[in-house]
Amino acid sequence: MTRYDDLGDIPSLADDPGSLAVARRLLRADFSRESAVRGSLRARLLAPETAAPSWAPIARVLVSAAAAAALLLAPLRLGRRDDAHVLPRGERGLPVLPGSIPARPGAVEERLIVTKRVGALIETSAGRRVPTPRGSMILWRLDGVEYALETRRTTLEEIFEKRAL
Amino acid sequence: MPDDRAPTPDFGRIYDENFAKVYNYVRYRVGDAAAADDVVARVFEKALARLSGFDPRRGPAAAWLFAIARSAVIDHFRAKAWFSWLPLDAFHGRPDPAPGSEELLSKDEERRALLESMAVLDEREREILALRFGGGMTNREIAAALELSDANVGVIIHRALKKMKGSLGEDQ
Repeated sequence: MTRYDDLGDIPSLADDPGSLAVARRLLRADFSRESAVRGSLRARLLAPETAAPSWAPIARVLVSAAAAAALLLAPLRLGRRDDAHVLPRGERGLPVLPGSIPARPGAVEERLIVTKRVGALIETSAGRRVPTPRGSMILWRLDGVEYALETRRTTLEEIFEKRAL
Repeated sequence: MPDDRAPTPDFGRIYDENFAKVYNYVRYRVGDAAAADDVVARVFEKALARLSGFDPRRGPAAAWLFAIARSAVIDHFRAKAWFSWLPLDAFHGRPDPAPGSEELLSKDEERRALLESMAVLDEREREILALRFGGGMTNREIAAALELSDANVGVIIHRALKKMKGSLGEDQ
């Protein structure tokens, strides 16, 4: 059998010294020393947990991702409701923080957004859209704690802090 | 009664015996050192995942690995087509942070010159040269893998070498 470093199976190379020289240079070249992963890849692939692949870690990640997606999408769905009430104002006309907003009895239908049980992550969340002077916010509850997800118009000055030397 | 079960392949041995060949093949195909590392990592990850399906009695590990490597290179170029707005830095190796000697530097330059000279080749010539000189395959093995005749592979290699010799200063 022809060895790959024998060049006899390439026709006419003996009559073409230039091509023969190129072939020899190609045979001598070894790029593998430039690899930055040779050792680490070997160690990773031959590690015991890699050698016996398991779906458990992947399943854990997928379940967590699904739970996170459900949590993020739930307020958006409630945000389309029209039966919201006006946010009460405190001193100097500023809106009261979400934790102290009283719900008008009967005005807002509490709606279960989603119930998921993924370990101890999420148990129940519920919410409603509340208009604010510059937009609206959705109040939602998770594990007995209330949070606000606010949408409002803003300015560049609010986003980017200007500093002067 | 003879045991028909395939012997368990030693992945560590397959890796050690074939890493350089697979890397050189991939490097000739993709040019860039970082991209070659990515592709080679995918090749061996796939090989490990499919190890239980590999039967050493049906052929050498190298042939099995190169089938995976060729597929990984094709996937790489498909992905690259999607991200074609990214700067192309193929044919430029990872910079050597501290070459130990002039000899090391000249070897680096030699490898770079070889990669650059392959830019004149078409896809098939480049693939065949990469399999032959990077992967260490014989003309017969290449012919079987690419469904060509041995003679055709030899002619294509010679034609590719002739194209390269001008840019490598070997045409005098």
